Amino acid sequence: MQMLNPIWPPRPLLYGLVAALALVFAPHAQHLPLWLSALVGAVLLWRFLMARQNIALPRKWLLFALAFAAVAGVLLQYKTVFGREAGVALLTLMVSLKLLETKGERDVWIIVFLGYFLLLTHFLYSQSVFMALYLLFVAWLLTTLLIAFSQPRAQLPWRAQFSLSAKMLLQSIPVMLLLFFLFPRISGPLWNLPNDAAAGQTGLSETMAPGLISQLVQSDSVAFRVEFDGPLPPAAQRYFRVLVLDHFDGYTWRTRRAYTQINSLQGQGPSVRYTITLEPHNKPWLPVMDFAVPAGLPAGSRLNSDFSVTQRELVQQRKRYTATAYASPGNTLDTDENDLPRASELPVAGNPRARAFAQQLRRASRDDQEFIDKILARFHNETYVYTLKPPRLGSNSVDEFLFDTKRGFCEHYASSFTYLMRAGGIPSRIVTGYLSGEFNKLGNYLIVRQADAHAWSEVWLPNRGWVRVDPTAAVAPSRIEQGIANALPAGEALPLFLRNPSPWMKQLRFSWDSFNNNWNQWVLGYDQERQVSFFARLGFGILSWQDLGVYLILGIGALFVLLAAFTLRRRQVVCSKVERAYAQFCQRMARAGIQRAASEGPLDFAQRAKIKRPDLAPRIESITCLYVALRYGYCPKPEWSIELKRAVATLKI
Amino acid sequence: MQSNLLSTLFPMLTNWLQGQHVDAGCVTLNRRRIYILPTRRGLFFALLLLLLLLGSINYALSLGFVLTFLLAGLGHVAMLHTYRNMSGMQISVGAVAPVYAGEPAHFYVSLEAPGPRPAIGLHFKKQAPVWADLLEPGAQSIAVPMPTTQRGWLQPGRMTIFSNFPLGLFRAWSYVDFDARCLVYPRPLPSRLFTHGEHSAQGGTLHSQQEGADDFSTLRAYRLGDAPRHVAWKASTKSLNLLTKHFVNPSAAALWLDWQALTDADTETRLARLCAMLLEAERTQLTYGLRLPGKEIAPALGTAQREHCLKALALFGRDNADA
Repeated sequence: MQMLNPIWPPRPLLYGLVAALALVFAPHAQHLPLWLSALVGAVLLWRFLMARQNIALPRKWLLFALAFAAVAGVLLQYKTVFGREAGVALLTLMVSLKLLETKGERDVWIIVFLGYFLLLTHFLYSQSVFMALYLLFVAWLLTTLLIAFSQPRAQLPWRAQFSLSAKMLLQSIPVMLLLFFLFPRISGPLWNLPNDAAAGQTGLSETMAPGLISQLVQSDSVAFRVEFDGPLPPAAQRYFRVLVLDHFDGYTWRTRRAYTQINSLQGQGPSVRYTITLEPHNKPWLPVMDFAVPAGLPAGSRLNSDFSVTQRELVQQRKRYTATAYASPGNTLDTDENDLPRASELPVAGNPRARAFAQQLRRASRDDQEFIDKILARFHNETYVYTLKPPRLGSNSVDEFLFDTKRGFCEHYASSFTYLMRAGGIPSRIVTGYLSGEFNKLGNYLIVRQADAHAWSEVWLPNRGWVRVDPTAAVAPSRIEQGIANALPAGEALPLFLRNPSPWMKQLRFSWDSFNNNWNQWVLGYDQERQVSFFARLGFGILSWQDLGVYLILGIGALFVLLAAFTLRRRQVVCSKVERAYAQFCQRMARAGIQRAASEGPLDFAQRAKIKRPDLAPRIESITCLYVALRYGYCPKPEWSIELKRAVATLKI
Repeated sequence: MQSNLLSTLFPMLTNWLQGQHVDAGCVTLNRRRIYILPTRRGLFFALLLLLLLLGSINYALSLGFVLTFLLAGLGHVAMLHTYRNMSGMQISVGAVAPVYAGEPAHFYVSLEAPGPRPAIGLHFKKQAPVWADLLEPGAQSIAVPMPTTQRGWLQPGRMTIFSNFPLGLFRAWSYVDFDARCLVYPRPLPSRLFTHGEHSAQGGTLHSQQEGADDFSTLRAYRLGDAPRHVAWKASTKSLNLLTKHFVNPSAAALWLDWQALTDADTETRLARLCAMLLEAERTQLTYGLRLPGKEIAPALGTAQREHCLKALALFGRDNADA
């Protein structure tokens, strides 16, 4: 295309481009290294100043050097140029450098297209409603720029360009919705996701040391949401199991890698079905409410002999699954024979006081149950404190906690209780997971946050199998019934979200979470499974991807016709009506003996007709005027065509 | 509806079947005449959509799908808007003034549209386009240039009228062929003219044309030998050269611009020289006639004579001389 203006691109357009790119890059500043954000900002500023001061763009060798330096910098920072983090960093740098090379129209639209692509990369980090709205706004700016750069000469007023791009984006929404619901979804990635695809999530880990869970409790991020088929089970039953830790080194509890799979567990007692929507945590485990059975678990997952559920892949995307919880696991006596010896191991040395205490107490008790009760009674009766801020413990953590500090969070109680059990000869282990959660009445689901993380114990009793014992219940029963906020002593500094909020704040929080849940379920969680069930519920039956393709093509065709009719409507409707009315007028005049010649314009014809029929002159005049205005005038008004029609209809010859 | 749809889908085909045809003086662009195809930018946009789709599938980004499909919808809408930017436009042919070979001929067309139509390009064949922005109501006259190289009738053929607005992803275009033509005169080749009182080797033949002192006619550049009383002193102050008042004897015989009197072998060169002489004669207000093989134009002076003679020079030896 011919460039009429030697200064290209024109300054206002260039400023617009720089500003739009700054907005495109802005959210990445949160996670890009500081040097990179600063460099990108500097390049934008440089380009802006070059345009302002009319300085020539840098030469090719300088651009090459900068690009090379950028790649080297990214390599140094990330040790790779692939994967999410490095890829985003490199793309951001390259797009900003491309801005230094805007010689022609092509360079500009390439930048705008790369800007559109960069919008996608933000969704790797956040898919919140706010991000969506922000990026919609940026997409609007980019589209406006594309419009501005498509006019080689005069520029429409900015206002007109903005409203045109807004109009076009609004008109794209029907096609977008159609494609969103109908486009066949493929489950699973096309190629292996890099390991950093879901980095940075908080959650439980494979180890538990004093202080780890109390740290996790500071986070208000949602771990998962649960919908129950039927009434909400009481808080004291809502134990969600994640991991079992049975190896203790005196300070830290660890999980064992290989639990055997169990396929035959039946479950006993009352059961409840529920559906969990799990937030991605980059680990293979799926939280389940105690006690899960293998039947009905999601595909690709398995029930282990410790009653936890894991799947083969890491959970890198929001996952929805349904399971059933039974009050008791039923016959657990024939579980893996390695489990019991491992649940009885004690470190060779360390924590001598606790060891001696347990052995002595066991000897004084008639049976295992009495031994357990005595220890729980000790937690309850002595001056033990349940607190988020326990003192630091040394290498003999159990001794120090039990006999000296006596202040701790759930992991301290679970850890020392389990240790005492093992020292007293009862196989026992730590279970970590989540407890109770908060019920959202608006959305009718349970929100379980990282703040609801909990640790408890499980002991093996002959004839009964594994039995849950929660020592925290002995020291702070309200933790189980009413949540952490009520269980902690008064005066304890709580994270803001844990404090008891005012009712309207609570209402607001629930509405917001309910909205987010719907957003997650319907927008973010719209996958193959949801697509199938959505169309089944609409009465289409089970659709294959071929069916979807056919509907998609039909739908897009229909939308195209509708949209075309809408965009082109005004002119055509007015014209066709007008032409019909005028043709009728000519017909009537022909009947009266005045034939319009094919080459005769309406004005000439009117002139001739007026001379032949002076009595009709005013009518001929007004009909012709209306016709000419409608047919050849600028922006004819629809009501004129009605007037024309009436004038022709009432013409008496 | 069926046939309309077909002709919308295959305008190229129907046009080809109908054969080359010439448009009357006014054409309204409608779906039978407007073609639309993606541009290179549009193809890159499709590639962008594909990349966005792959990224969304791979990282299971639901909002990525939303973005991809929104942009796909935008492409879809852009096609309609580009088409709309052309549709309903009325093009009528206007005047075209004759030019000398080597100068661009400007074909005037008048554009009118039922609404604002920005960034409309017009061009002949492979020429660079001129741009029109129909933003105000009413017709707009646009000069579409076409370079000329040789004398005769210039028939630029069909004119392309196109638009990539608003996103440049699609190009909608239409052809109009008004059968317009432009008369191209020979490119004037100046030569030594009017050697007084003799047959000039390189000029026309001056028959009894006397430069007289009777009637003041015009001003011309001072030549050695001009009487000082004929110098137009006052006029000379506004000119770079000294000017002499030029007097013509009205009863004098005419200057004959004679093909036979020229010695150049090449027809085009002779015509070019005759053209230059003719213009010089017109400028100096010498009555002139033109003699070409098989054609003679009686001596006269003025615009009509000039155009008559120039046309004769332009069309000399052309088959379509009187077409």
